[in-house]
Amino acid sequence: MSRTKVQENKREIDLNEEQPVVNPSVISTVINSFKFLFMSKSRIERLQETNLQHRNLKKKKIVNGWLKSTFTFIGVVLIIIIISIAVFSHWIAPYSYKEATGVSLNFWKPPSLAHPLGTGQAGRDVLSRIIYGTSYYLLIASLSVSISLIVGTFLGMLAGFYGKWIDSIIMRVNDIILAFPGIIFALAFLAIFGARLKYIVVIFGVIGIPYYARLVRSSVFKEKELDYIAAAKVSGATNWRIMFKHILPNSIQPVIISVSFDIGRLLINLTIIGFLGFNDPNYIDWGSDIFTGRGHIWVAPWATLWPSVMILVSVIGFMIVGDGLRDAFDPKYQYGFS
Amino acid sequence: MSLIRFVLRRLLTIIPTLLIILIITFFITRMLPGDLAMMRLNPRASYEDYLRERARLGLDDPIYVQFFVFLVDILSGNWGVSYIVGRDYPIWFLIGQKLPISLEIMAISMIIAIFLGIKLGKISGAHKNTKRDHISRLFTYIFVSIPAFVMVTFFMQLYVFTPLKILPVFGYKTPGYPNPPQITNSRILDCILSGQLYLLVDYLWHLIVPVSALAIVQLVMMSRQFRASMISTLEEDYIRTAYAKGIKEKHIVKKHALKNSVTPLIVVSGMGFSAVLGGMIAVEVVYQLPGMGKLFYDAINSSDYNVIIASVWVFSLVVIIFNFFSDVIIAALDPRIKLK
Repeated sequence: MSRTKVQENKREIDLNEEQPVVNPSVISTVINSFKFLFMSKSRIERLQETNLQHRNLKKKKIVNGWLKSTFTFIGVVLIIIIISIAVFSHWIAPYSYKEATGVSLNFWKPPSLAHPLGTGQAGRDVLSRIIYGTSYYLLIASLSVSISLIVGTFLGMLAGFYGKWIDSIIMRVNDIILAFPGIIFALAFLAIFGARLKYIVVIFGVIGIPYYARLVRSSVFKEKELDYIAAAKVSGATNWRIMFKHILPNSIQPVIISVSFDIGRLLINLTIIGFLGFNDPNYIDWGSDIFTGRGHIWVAPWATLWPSVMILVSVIGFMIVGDGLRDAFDPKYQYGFS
Repeated sequence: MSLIRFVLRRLLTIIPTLLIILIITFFITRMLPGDLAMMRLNPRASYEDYLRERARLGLDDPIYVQFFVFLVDILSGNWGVSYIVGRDYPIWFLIGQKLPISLEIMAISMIIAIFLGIKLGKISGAHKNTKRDHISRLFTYIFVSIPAFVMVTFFMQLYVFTPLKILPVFGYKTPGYPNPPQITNSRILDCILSGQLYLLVDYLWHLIVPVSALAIVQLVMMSRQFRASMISTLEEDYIRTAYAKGIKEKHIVKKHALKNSVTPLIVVSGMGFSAVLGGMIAVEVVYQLPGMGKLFYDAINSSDYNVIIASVWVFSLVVIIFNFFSDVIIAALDPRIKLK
């Protein structure tokens, strides 16, 4: 923009003084503190009015699209419960970690006052075990989702912003990883190199990268053609600044939606891995509990039932919230679930 | 004509994928603990055999020579011998026996899932936010959140807790029943070709539980996708035109909207296939089905490295072929994709 044009714009604004400010939410915070210096009282009132209207509209939209839906509300409550169980597991669990992995004589006992959900293999308390299992699963899920989120967003941003050969290399590799049966590779890798927490996190992180890279790339493609990017370029912003200060906040939305689905999918994959015996043996997990409880299901159904219920509840929570976020942000979003 | 060109172009994109998978499996074999030549040989082999195998694999040669030998071995079906799981049988033979069972299970469950998934998705997509929609959404939420093997674990209890004992507890045939004569490797085809239909019925009766669990998992995924694409299709202009022409709603949903919302469903079933494979392994383990999944599970639990690598290779091949066919079907259905 040339200087004369800026001056022209300024004059225009001066001429149209009577019109109310349309987008008060951005400016108001700055203006609010000094407004008495250069604004008439009526103008302040008008400003506050439009501000209020704007806020009400926004609130109404969110309430209508998201929180009002009972499904979503249930999902949010479930996620909050699951996360707080995971975070406070060592305070909530009735038995210590040592006792939950140790051996005692009252195995496969029905629910009682001492063991509210009964006991499983080697007399381990089922309630404590599912609580510790929650913290282990959410630890892995959050770590590996953040790996795939960060790396995937970065690669998708590079591919979408630079295009050309960078794009074709990154997307070719992406397609190849997507064509792999991820869980088979994970199992083979864990079987050969040993089931350790760090390996599980890294493997599932890598498997998740292409989904995010694809999402970010497609929205970066749309975003970089817009005028504000051209303006930023003209004003001399570097490519990195444009990518991470301008484009990233505007193209992160589909990524946030898919995080919720991704955690749900990951939890199911982790139970499968645990059931087949390839979760880190130093930690408690639901999958291996189901595996051991399965052989005694006629004697002690609770040892199998409760871990399964925990899987159901936590995955349902993340799926519902993912759906709710998707509906709230973008009703026409199609390929979010996989 | 353009479809043939699309198929050829799509076939070309398979080659780098296969190459990368080969490279990864190659490096996994080189990173394995122990001597590779020893691993591929029979425990009763002599020292001369060992030296010969070592020279053949080119373990003292540069890495690209080793890779070339590895490539020739894989392409010629020389996949080594399974010592622990397969009792010294060649892996090629083992996989030929086990793969058809898994493919049959996957195929049957997928057909059921596509059929019912479209039905369910149609109901909840065409009647958005009604009672029917909410009920089917609740159903999908519940079943999308249970892994298939947990479902099988609880379905198996039906035998114990129902008085009629209708469903079998595990396995793929009633103990004492003979196997059909081996004509092809597929058990269903063998039963039909040899005319022993009671064996076929027995086999299908045993497949009810695992197939229904796998079908539910895929069905739920598909109906969720189909609901979304149905809703967005019903907002298109040509649907409004059809309404304006005075066509009945039933007809519009059935003839106009249904066909145009099928393509995303195939995309999802292509992508979901590799996700369902993990579930299939666990289901085969739970239900004691002697398929590829059980073989892979036994191999990873007993460190039978030859079998692990061969089954990774086979699973990837199956997934790649499946994705190829789903892409071709989409291109045949939707002319817009061929133009890209």
